[in-house]
Amino acid sequence: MTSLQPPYQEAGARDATSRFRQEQAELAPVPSKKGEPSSWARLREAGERLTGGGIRALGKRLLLRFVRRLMGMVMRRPRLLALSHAILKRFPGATWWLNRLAAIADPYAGRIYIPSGRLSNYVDPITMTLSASARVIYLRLRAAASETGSWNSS
Amino acid sequence: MRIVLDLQAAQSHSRFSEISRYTLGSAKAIAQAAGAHEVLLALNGRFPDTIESLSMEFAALISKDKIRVFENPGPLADVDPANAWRRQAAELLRENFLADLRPDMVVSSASFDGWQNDVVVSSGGLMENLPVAVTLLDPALLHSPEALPEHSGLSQFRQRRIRLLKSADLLFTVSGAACKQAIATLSLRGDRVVHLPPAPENFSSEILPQPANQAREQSGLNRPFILCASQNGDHAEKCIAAIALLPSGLRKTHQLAIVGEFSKEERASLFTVCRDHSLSESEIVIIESSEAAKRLYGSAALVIFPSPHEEIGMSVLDAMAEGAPVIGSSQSVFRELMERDDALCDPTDTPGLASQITTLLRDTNLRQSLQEWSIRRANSFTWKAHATKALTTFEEIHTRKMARPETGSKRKPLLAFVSPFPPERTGIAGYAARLVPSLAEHYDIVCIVDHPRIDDPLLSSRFPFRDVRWFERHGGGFDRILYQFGNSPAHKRIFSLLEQYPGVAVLHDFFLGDVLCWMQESGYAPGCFSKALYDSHGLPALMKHNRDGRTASVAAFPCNSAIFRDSAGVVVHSSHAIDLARDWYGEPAAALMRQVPFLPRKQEKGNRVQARERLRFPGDAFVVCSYGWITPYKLCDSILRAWRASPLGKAEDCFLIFVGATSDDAYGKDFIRKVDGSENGSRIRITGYVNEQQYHDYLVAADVAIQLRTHSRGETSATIFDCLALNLPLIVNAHGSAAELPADVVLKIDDDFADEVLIDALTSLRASPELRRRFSARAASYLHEEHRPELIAEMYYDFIEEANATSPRAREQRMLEIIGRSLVPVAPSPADLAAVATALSANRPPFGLPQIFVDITNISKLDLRTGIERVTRGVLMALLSNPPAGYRIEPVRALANGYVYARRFMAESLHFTRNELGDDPVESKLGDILLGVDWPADVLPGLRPWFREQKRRGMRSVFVVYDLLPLLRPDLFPPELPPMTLGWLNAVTEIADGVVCISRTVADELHQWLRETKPNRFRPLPIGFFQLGADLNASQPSKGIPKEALNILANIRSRPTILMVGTVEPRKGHRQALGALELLWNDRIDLNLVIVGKKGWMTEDFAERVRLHPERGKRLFWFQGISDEMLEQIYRSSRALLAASEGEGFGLPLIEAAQYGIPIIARDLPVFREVASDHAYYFRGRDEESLAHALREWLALGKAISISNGLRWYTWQESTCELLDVVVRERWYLSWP
Repeated sequence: MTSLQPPYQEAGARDATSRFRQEQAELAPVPSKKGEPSSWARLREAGERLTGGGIRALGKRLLLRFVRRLMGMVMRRPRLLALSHAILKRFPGATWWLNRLAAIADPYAGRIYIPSGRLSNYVDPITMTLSASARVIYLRLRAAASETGSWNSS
Repeated sequence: MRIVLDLQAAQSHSRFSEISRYTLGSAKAIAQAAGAHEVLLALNGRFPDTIESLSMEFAALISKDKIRVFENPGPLADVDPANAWRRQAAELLRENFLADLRPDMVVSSASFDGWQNDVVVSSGGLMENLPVAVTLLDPALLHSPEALPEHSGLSQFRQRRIRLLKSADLLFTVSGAACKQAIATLSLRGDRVVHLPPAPENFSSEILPQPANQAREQSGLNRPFILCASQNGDHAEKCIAAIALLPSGLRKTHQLAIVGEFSKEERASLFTVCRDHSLSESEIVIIESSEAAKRLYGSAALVIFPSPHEEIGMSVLDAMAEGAPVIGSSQSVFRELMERDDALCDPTDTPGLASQITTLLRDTNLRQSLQEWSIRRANSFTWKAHATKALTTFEEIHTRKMARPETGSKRKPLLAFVSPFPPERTGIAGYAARLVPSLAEHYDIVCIVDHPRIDDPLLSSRFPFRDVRWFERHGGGFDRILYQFGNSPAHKRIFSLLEQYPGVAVLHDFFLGDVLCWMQESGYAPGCFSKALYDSHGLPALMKHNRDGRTASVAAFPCNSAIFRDSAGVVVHSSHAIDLARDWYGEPAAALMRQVPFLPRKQEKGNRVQARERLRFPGDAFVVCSYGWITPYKLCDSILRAWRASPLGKAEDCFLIFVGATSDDAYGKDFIRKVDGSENGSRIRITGYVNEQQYHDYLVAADVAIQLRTHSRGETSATIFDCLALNLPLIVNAHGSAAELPADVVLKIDDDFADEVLIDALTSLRASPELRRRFSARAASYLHEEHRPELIAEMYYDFIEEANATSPRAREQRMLEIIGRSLVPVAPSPADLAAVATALSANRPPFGLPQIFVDITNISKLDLRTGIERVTRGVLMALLSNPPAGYRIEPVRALANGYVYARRFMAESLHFTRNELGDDPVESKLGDILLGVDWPADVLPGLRPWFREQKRRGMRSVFVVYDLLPLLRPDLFPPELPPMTLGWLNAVTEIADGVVCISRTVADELHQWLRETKPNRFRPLPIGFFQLGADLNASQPSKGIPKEALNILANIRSRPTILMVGTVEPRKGHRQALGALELLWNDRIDLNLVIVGKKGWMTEDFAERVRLHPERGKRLFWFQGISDEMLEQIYRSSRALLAASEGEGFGLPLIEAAQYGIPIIARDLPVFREVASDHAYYFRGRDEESLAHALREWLALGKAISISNGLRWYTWQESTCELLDVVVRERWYLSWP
């Protein structure tokens, strides 16, 4: 038995590897040109470092659970639903925001499929609003964009 | 040839603009003359308002499925630098979309569009070999940038467009001058630029519905007129000036009609110019519509085209074709079209123009000569000739392109070979180790594994090995990827890798349920089996899984649609596997596949004598072996039976060996018992598990092998090839992949063979050493001819390269990499990325069965168990339990911004033990149908944009209309219901591709309503009807009879009972019925009145009346919210059903009554006549006395009462079949208009 990742002894293997390394170097991420992070961003980063992102994830989960329950309650009461429709008609901005939140926190939605493996690193709230195949494409696009550094937004 | 016509130019310009008319005229002509060529239309989804009208224009020429819409993220106008990333992405998306259509020629005429709108044109960004023909409709823009408005990016935009023109395989120009100009400016070869002139439009009655004299009167033209066709105010002013110089006699007898879409300021300016030239307003008429102008050409005394910038000349040809005497600017395309000097004018020379007009108006002969020439000349331009020339040119280009040799790169592509390798205990590990060295002839290979060690030093020293984590980070850097899929946990990581980096997949096992089940149950990928089962086979598969358990569903379903969806191509080792893919997923899946022969193991010949000694066989024994697990699928029982019955079973020197282990289940134990109990048990052995050496010994020691199979799941038997590799004579049955082995290589018996056939096969092989020798020799040559490693590697190479060049997934991955790398001043936002992802997913060609989306919005929220909900449940359950062939059933529910799959609700209502499916947004494709069987009246009107979007993707929407009563009898409903119904119906008539009513009566009422209200629609609305089902059991009936109900039922049975079923609301006639019963009670007629139904609207007074009624609980009963089981008991206890409703869509209680055989007393409504025909007693009149009188008469009939059980009623299954007949097979009853 030999271990994995052996030294490359044959020319063919060297060719493949060196070319691969070269391509990797060419595709290396462009350094970020963002400015200094804000104090809120620093605080969030410190919190995430300390808790491994746990507090933020917990907060997000609790908020979504609350919204989900609230939505469920409203949607089961047609009069309340009609009332909220009537009120929200006047505030299209808030309606858009709520629709988006509703799509994420849809009380009937169940578990939305997220690909396993590295693509799951790129999940963000917008991911949950997409159809299943658009979601995978979005994650692949984000992965491709982040590899090449053309897109540095979080 | 497959020709794709990109009609963006017709979408971005006004319908009556020259560019739009040329584009449409050309497209229609090509579609009409296409003959054997296939023509598709490509439309841009960023112009949604144009899609339906354009589709309708081509409805007679091109089938609906060939009018395709591509989606883009927006906005895209080049003028805004902030759109740069989106525009680049959109160009790639369009190219990808076009490539998916597999065109032999793409024709676009929007060459200079896109600066200020969302037109997308490009070439070579993603697909270098996409064959493109561009029609140059703005030749002036080739070398006159000063004609364009100033802007910093404009020059770059123009340069990009010039590059597009230069790179096109073919450039069409509308004039000969433009042709020469393009060749000179773009330095193109003459054979790449073709002059393709327009033709006059064939004025149909659709365009010209009015006669010319009527058009003249409407325009205010009351005497002979000169028509000045100009879109430009300056040119019109020149015409006015010329008219002013005409002799007064001519001026008095002629009017000037100016055609053009002028702004208010321009109009005012024109009239000022008239006044300046002493022309009265009555002498000038402005005609703003080009459509109206067309009607006037034929009756004009003279038509002038003064514009020097006329590039296309469609209007000129139209006027000439109408026989008008025409003169036009000598500086425009007019010179070429008219080919007559005395018809040319210089509009800048006002006195000259005036003199020319004077001459023409006075000289009748000259005018007549011009008229005749106009007609002759215009007739020489025809769309037919246009199309013939275009098609001939396409054919030439296509032939030339096909003949051109491919110039590929000489370097080997870098291939990631993702597979388990030895020492992983799977046959695929060994297969991979055998294949990689041969494949290295064609690729530089990096092996990707999911296990820590490789035990083949030769392999590990020759090839770099990396683990899957490394690959997850660096997979994008490979030129090609090859995944080896098998049905064991060794492949668990490969599923997610394929999703991230599409590549070619090798399916060693067609059924993948075992590995997915293991992944789910071990906690490695929770929910993955349920998801795969659902994704691949839909809800019916989950229902079976829930009912029959894991083993049954793993055995029954391949669960592998994701492999076909995500991979660039699929390699299998047998055509049987391709047939399975075709059966499960249709032709698109089979088209992705390639059969590559199995690569057998190399087997050392071995020493037969020593092997027999080791296995303790006598040297001269005749040894027959069957290799592999002893399962019912290997037909071991048949082998044992045939052996016992054959002469071999009785011969002392013959041995039958089952080389393999038995399972621990009942079959295994039973089989051991049978072997032990046989007479010649000592010569029949089961070896149990054997190691590699022992397995090899048995192969070497055997004289004959038998490998039988049943219920194959698409796999290829490696053991068969082990036998062939050692030239062992082999008996197989023609099942699965073994059926494909040549008949002279193995002794092949029928798939479903009789024991005698197997006995014969064994006996003949035993008897004939020559026959055995012949099979041995042929096996050796067969393997050499068909299964040589280098041959197989070459076949792999060919397929991988072909898939890389043509497969949508490989192209898509390249596109995502390009988009990811694209560097622009304004970086994309997450919303941009999401928009690109959504557009790309919408543009993908359909895969899998078309879906029928069943709208269950209301029952998924709150099932009120009213009639509509009952229909929804009945239809849904019928569809799920017996899905129509070729369709997949998907319950969906509406949210405020679109529909989502109602998976969670279905999982709950079908009592699935595991519920791991989420309610994703609905993804529709070409051929899908939304069946609006529920009534989400509050949400649907707001979903118009969603429906329009899905329509662009090819989804049809068909809605069930239950009744129009809230519109026809608003007095019987709460005030909010009629407007809600109207809103719903308006939305439906706007978005639906068809409506199905629940009775012919409702269909007629709807048709009448449409004729009266005339809603706005581009296309006819077909109307059908179907009959509702009435078997309670099929619509998930509720159960339960309360204890106290037994006394009530006894009371009901004690005297004749009149039953009323349905929500208590004003139209149902409860008031009249109670009044009538009171009259009968007063007359001492002893009857019960039983009302079953919830209290509805506007019935407070009636509820109070019942509550206080002295007969309540004695002869008057009202049940609310009872179960379906209780309702059944009440039906059985009643004497008659009273259907007193003043209006119904169908009348389900009539059918239910018929099921229980109780008579029906019904109001004389058309719908009740339709449902019950002669099987009911009908009454008229709305007052209590008339009903009481009818009841008295009915009671007096005695035995003559009409019996309802002859009434024909449908089950929900039959009803749904009838519904599908209308919806899927489009058997409509009426159409409006």
